[in-house]
Amino acid sequence: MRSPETGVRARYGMVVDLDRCDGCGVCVVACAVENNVPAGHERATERTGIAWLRVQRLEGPAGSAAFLPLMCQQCDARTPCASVCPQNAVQVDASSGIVGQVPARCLGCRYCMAACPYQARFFNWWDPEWPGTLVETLNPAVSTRTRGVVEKCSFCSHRLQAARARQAADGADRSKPPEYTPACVEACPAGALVFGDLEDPGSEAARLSRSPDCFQLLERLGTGSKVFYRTRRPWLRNAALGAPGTERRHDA
Amino acid sequence: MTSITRRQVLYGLGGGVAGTILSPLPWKVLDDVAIWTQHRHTLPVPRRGETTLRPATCTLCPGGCPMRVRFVGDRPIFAMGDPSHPMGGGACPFGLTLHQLAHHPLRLATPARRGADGVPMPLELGAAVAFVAGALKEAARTGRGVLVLDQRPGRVVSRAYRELLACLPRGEYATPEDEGGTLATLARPGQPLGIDLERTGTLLSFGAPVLAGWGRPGRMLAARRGLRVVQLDTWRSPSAALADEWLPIRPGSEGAVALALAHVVVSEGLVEAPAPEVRRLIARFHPARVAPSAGVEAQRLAALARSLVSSGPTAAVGGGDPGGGPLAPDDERAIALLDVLLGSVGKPGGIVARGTVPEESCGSLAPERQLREVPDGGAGLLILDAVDSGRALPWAAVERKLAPDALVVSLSPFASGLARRAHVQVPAPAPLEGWDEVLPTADATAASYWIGAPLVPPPPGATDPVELLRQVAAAAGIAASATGSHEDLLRRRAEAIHASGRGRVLARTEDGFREQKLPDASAAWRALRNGGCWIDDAVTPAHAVATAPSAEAVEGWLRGEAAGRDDLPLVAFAARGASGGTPACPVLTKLYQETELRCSVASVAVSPLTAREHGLRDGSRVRLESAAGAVTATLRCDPTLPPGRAALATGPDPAALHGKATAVPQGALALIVVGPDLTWRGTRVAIREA
Repeated sequence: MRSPETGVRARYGMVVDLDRCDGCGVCVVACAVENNVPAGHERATERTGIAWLRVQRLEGPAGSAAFLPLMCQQCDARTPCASVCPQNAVQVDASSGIVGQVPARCLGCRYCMAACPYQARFFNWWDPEWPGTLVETLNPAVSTRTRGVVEKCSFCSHRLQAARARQAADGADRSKPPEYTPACVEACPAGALVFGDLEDPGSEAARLSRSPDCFQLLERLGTGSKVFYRTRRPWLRNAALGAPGTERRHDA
Repeated sequence: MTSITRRQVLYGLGGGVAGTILSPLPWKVLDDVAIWTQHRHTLPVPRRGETTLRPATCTLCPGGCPMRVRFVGDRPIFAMGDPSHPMGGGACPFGLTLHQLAHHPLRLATPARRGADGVPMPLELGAAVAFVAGALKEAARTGRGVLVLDQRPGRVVSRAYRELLACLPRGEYATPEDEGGTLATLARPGQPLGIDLERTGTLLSFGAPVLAGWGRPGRMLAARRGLRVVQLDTWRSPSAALADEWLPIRPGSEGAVALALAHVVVSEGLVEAPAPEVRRLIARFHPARVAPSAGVEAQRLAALARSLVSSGPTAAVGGGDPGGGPLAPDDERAIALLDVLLGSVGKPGGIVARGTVPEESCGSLAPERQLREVPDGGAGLLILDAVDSGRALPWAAVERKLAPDALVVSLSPFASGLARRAHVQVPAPAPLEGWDEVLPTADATAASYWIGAPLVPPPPGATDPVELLRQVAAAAGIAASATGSHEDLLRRRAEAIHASGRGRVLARTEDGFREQKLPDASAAWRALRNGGCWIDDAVTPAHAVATAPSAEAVEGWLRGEAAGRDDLPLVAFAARGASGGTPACPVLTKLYQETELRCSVASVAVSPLTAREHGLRDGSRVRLESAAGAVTATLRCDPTLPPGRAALATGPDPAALHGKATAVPQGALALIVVGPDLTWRGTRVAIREA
């Protein structure tokens, strides 16, 4: 995958250290604030609400629990959502490997939601509302979405655009992909999220993704997701491999 | 000339329709419709501008996490923890909404006075000042008390309150219980204590949320690796879920369990023999005797007690839950006694002393008292300070300190929490709009201090509390009030810190923080003003004062809970910041409504066994009733919750999440029965199908 403009090839991915995640929910809120995801409607539930990043609780032995942040897994091969979209509203960026969503093209057919094995896509059942003057806190780098379209995690691709713009403005070497950090990674107080270019052997994310205690969710489907999870606890690994995307349905 | 038949016309039309369908035209129309509908005029288009990153401080709770706030133009759009700060390490979800609070729908824009119908009517600042000054004079004339409730003592504003109150015949300055209950029980006056977490072997928590928003969270995150955490909790709290070991004790058994642990370590000779009267006291708390009332096997208590010595140094802490409220003083005394017996006090890795933040010398100050020490029914005027401890404080706990016709004045920037009860509201600047200070948290081993400077201008109707006090004092003819603005008072404190010669100042530079030699007091002020941080030197070893629990409490613990009662102990809980006076921002629906990550006030948890005993089904609507009130909630059968108790959150208020104000408290806050010691852990509820 090479960018037609610069010829730069990158494959951004994330490694989630489940042994560090304490389920504080900071990543969930940071994601919503950064990406202008509105507060839930009064009638919104776990099935109909929008949270691009969710944290699921996994029950462990002797009353213990662990937490699993779940977002779009940024499938690398045979991206299920992209292959079913009739509107070409799901686009895989060749230069970064990021699976993007173009709300302006979305018809709201929700084929992509049905196709996503991770159930990481969300439909806008209500018009977005920012009560009071909260509209003043919106991020201008991310467009707001209306009722009737699907949205999902984009690895904060607007931050990648900004990083590219900075790279160009600074006259930096454009043969290297720019480094940037998604909002959830930036905000995580536990350092449980590591982000970087998986193609860059020097990146921490690439190094961690190759460690033996790393795994991908629903690996058997061969989606080649670019979100890796790691844990040294066997029960947690088993629970994570079994739980996500199979227990909850977000479509009402 | 050939005629066109009807059939040919139909063929032509059919072919045209089929051709159109097969052409790209319908898809183009759909595409355009999709694009047009995305550009509704109702969708907001945020303003663009230059992006800058500015240092800030979260002051939503005493944790005082250092923050970085991203601005676009003059608008703050994103807040996050500042890991580069010497005392930093992250922020909680509430801290991430810091920049949104000024825009919260419950934000108060102008002073207001509640009429007889309860509806607040806007008031000029001058009229509000005259009103409060008149109430002060009236209280002084009639000999009634004036009470200031400050949830974060030690700030320069706190001193301004105390100076003002010292000039009144019955001025009372009170603070509610904080999370350092055990340490305060052990501490001598003027000698605060902290926990040497970085070298602690085992942290034994009696219901304190040590792994989920306690002390300074960044510090705990850094210390967690290598630290064994044992949580004694009445429910599977977030800290219990993350702890190395969780003992699900019964509500109200904390003191008895602490003495049972003490019994084991003393009777097995694992620690130095205590004084005879202490030995006699703990001899009565054999684990086998405590086990039935605690709900934990005696062998497990004994094994835990042994591990406290073998995996020491151990620090045992109480302090309670932000929603469940403080532990009873006798419980804290029992936990403090355990600390002393384990030899944890004054030992590296245990409970150590810290200094206090230097303050400028001034005239007389009203003494600082805990709210429970203030006489009941004596206050004719209550002033509620603007800041929030992030912990629940039921109105009933405050109300009992007031005279029947007392006037309540709130300085909170929000129409939520206790401020809803105020007759007069004079809004202070919201977070990021005003000056603030961060003082050491309860667990800190060294004093520290830094300042949060205003980043955005407050609205015209907001008044800084220092300025308000100055105007009220002038209007009431009180001379000895703090002089100068809030900034002046902070500058004087920076000068006092410099004059003390203690500690070091780490100044903020472009590439992080660097220790700075400060030639004069002005340099100290500039360093602190620009985001720097003062950290004190280590102090001499601690000396503790342990007091035995009262005989009444001891007998109560030994009697245990009366069996055969139909009602259930209420386990009230909340995350720090979720049930205080600051309303939760709407985006927090992501945690409390749209995911199952945190429990909201909408659902009450009981064990499946308890549900069966009461004939209740999972997911059914149930009604909970206590002596204080009743609420309706959805029943959630939680297999991790031990039988015989009901767990319900005290916050956040779902109405606040949706930008609405409610007149009545929600969730457990509506059920809480406040005891004479201002605790509510003894609340019991009846549960039945709604």
